[in-house]
Amino acid sequence: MKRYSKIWIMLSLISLQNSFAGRFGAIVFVIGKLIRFGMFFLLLAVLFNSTKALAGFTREQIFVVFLTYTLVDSISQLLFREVYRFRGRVVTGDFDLDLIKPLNSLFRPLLGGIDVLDAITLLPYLIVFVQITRGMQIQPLSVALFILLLLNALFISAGFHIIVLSLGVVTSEIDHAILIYRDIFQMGRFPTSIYTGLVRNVLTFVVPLTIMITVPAKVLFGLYSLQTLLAAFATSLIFLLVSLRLWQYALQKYTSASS
Amino acid sequence: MNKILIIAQNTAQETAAYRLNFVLWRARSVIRYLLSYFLWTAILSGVAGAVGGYSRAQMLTYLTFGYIVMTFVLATRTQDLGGEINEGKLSNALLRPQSFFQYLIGREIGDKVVNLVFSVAEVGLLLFILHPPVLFQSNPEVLLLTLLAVIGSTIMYFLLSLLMSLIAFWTNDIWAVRFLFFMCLEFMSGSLIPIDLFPGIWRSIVLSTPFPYVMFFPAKIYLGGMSVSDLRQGFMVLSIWIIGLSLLAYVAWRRGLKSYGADGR
Repeated sequence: MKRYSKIWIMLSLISLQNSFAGRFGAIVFVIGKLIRFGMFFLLLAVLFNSTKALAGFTREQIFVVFLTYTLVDSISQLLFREVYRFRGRVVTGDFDLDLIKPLNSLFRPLLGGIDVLDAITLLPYLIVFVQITRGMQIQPLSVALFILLLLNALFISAGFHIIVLSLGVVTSEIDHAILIYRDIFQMGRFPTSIYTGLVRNVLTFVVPLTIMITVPAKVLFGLYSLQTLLAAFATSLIFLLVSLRLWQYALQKYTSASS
Repeated sequence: MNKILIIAQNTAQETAAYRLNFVLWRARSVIRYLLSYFLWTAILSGVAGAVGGYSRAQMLTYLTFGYIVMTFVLATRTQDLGGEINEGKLSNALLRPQSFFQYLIGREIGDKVVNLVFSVAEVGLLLFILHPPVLFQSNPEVLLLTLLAVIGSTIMYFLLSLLMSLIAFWTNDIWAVRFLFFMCLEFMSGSLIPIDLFPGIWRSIVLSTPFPYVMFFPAKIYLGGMSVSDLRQGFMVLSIWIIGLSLLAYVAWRRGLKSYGADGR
């Protein structure tokens, strides 16, 4: 564990240097992310000029759902950014270099250093989150459960990223798989109860945004049951196990074609 | 003309060569449409009557027609040009016994036709599954104005995207400006919320940028009932953007070619 932490810090430092090698790009990236964050608040304000509640959620509650989405999304990108570069490593055969190292085969592709630019934007998100939830009467138990469910959401997110990595190994043609996941994930900016029919089922059972975003946010409002919490933790466990199994399968199919 | 059509055909065939990528790209567009569709269905189900002058049928028509327009306008191959300049591949295109812009236009037509066909098919499927109460415009004057707005938006976006790629003549950080552009486009095109629902000052600011002309303006015209002064103002702003961007693109191309070193070749 200590060895992995040391390597992870080293990879993160390299990632930091890479991020600031193109300073103009780095600054624009951070500005862009903050603009998107601010604009979404503006849009929510415009929406709530037209309606008092959305699918039973008040304006403040919708803000909390959006902020929960932002936190899960940002931390996932911060931790799993290397996944976005993985296809290139498979196509060029550079993935061989990861496989011959005395490390877990998943370590470098999944956690190959944090994205520092996402770490920078995380701070303002947290400040806004604290500001908005400060006015709400939230029980300490709800806060503890919220943090646990946030971690749980990150485990599910890790599972998805592992599935995408596996797809990258098996079919090197998939450029858009991670982006599709991100687009579906964006549907979590609003409570999943606004969706109906097949879409709602997909967001509950296939990409469980309900468990990743809506449930943690509802916990803060004091709206939860023991069954929901157990289902949330069971889902992340199943997701991780299935994704790890898929990764093992993908590794068996890896042909090291370009090396 | 024949050359342009052959290039367009080749571009369409190129898309077919990477089918899975294209299908996934289209799937991403459908997901974005579904987000707006369900959001507004939820809002309108909780409100009696119209929201900001939009009835349920008008809002869903706005989103559905806007989806097709946006797909058509945003389909472009000009974003590849930045990479080609950075890698020196532009030299290949410049050496051909054919105008470079003829080549670009051919690629645009090929890409737009493929995307348009798919978006119409997707909308047909979504209408079949979701049964939204969509309105069909039959007024020829409104349809003509809509067509004019779509053509204007297409030209404007082509020039904008071209300019964003021409930055590659001077820097390798070509993705940064495009990233920022798409961040703004997401909120200011009107794909989530029609721009006329924005409060006064914000509405005026957004309407003076190029973003709402990618979707809001043509989709709003299609709905009908737009005042003559709003139409006049919209077309005027769109024309100013087209003229300004044309001049900028012309200057950037001329100066860029002078500083082009075919690095990477």
